[in-house]
Amino acid sequence: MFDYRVSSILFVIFLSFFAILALAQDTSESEQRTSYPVTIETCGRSITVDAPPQRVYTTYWNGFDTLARLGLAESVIGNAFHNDYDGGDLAEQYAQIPNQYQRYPAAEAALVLQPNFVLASYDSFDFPEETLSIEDWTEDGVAVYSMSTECGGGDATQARFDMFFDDVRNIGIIFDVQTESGALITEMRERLAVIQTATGDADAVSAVITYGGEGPLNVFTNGVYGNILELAGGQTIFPDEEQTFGGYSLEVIAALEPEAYLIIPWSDTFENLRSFLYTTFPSAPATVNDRALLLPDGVTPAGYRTVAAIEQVAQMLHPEAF
Amino acid sequence: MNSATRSSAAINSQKRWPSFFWLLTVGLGLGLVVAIVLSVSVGAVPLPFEKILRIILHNTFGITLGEWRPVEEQIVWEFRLPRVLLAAIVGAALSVSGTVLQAMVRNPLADPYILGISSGASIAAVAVITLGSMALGGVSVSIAAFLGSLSAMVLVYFLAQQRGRVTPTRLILAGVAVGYVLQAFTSYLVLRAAQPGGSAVASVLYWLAGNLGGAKWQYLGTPALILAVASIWLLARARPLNALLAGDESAVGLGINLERFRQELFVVTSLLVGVAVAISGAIGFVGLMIPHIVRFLVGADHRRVLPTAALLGAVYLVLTDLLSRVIIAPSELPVGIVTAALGGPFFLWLLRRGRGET
Repeated sequence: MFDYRVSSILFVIFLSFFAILALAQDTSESEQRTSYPVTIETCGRSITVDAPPQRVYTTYWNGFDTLARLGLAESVIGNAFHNDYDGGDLAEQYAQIPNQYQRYPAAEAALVLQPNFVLASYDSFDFPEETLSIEDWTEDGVAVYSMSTECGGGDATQARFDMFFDDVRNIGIIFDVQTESGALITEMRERLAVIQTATGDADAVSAVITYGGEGPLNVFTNGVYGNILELAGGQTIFPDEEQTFGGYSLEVIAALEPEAYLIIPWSDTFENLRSFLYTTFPSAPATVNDRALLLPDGVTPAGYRTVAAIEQVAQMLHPEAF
Repeated sequence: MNSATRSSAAINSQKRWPSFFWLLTVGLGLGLVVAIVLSVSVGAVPLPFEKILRIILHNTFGITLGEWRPVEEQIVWEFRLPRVLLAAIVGAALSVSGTVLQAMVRNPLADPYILGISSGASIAAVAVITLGSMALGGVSVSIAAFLGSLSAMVLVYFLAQQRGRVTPTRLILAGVAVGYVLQAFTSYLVLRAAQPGGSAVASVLYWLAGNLGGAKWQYLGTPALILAVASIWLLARARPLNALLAGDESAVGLGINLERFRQELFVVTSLLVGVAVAISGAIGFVGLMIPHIVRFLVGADHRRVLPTAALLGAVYLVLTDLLSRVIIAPSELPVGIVTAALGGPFFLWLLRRGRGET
């Protein structure tokens, strides 16, 4: 009886000890706070912010999307180049952005918004001459953070999707929402791990990611696009190219015999582009096995929705694994 | 010595060198065959020459010697050969139309696109590429480009008319003006379609810079037929063309109905250019440069200039297209970039060597 009581008490103490440890750990994570001013590296630049930005100007969908998933949607006062994106599952919050532009607004239209932070999707595209440059924003005291996967534009051959995790982590630090950013990263990592576990033993499927062209064919080669394909259990047919996209010879693509087509319907409908590929490469395994997938817009630029695109691609490339 | 006298002198001087002309014609004919064989043999995917020959023999005469993979047959028969033949047809069409237009408007800077034809084709093609085929009633890029070029041609012709007459100067001015207006709309469409990563802009830029990468067998028939008929028709009117080049007075003196002849030339060259630009985009410099080189070689007599220009233009475009395919393989350059990059310096050298008189 005595032994039973002692062992029970010891067991409770033991559990309590670990519970306290776990709680302490949890508390330390939830209380991980940013001490301002904070300096962050972005695309080879250093930016310093003195407080969580309250008025944010974003470009494309992924900047807003990331902020919204971190509970920061209300800080976005303008979004450029939304390109008919409706926000997807965040449509309600997306519609609340007070200033939305189909393309890049003129410099004065952007300036009048008086943002105190810019979150840019494309470091190399988001600052065309008719708008404000990064230097212009910086001179006005506005920090510009550029998403890592698109640093260097077409030459970003070393870009990988997990750079987006660094962006989420950095945004968490800048906006002092590190717990939320950590949770978002964990969720994405877990979803990717599920894909990799499912497709791990299967041979990589060679695929061509195309966005149109009837000769040459416009193709995304490597960099973040090739990596997205790898994460889905595929392999780009141009792994050694020193550019992330380009126009490629039809005869080379025919000779490489891709096993799948991933189609981004920018220049025409998915059906028309698929029909062209099937007609042009009738003996390619991708045509013979009818393996063509419409890549949703969310696959680029890299962001939260890209994970869903990777899941879709993986299921198409390895249907037996799911 | 005025230009008319100079032209007549140039025409007469060539009568002394018939053997050179025939040698040149035979040489260029053989050169075209060599260029075609070379161009079919070389590409981004290495293939043994004997295998290429066997594939061509099989598809042309039904003779099967040995084996090959289906994809190898596709590369040779469906990609390379139609592309090379299209290059030859387009090169010849642009050179012949450039020759005729330079005579028609008596302007050495005239090229096949000076009458706004390429701008008309461009805006229609770019509209289809950037807005989708339904934007122009579901037509393909090629058909849209052809209709665009013909529409621009008709517009230019009517704008150039004054009291029922069309002069070379008014034709050029109307062509340039229409070209600028249409280019402005084309630029707007391109800007509107601009997206990171290329998107439709990549296709537009390839088309605008001239590109033969989309060649198919079914694209060859119409341009080949128009080229053949137009060349024969023009060759039969080589003497009136010579007179036109010498000046309106000379032409009228020979009993040529100037107004009607210009109208006919306008329609024929527009068809030639329209059908070429519809399939290959706006390939620059060939129609400007080749006629000058040919006149430098054989003089100004259109009986010699027209066939020589057709052959040289064909050889030039076949070889430049080969370069555009292999320079940055497995990527491709638009052939228009290569024609201008190679042709420009050569043209300047030729002008300096000939002291500006071609």
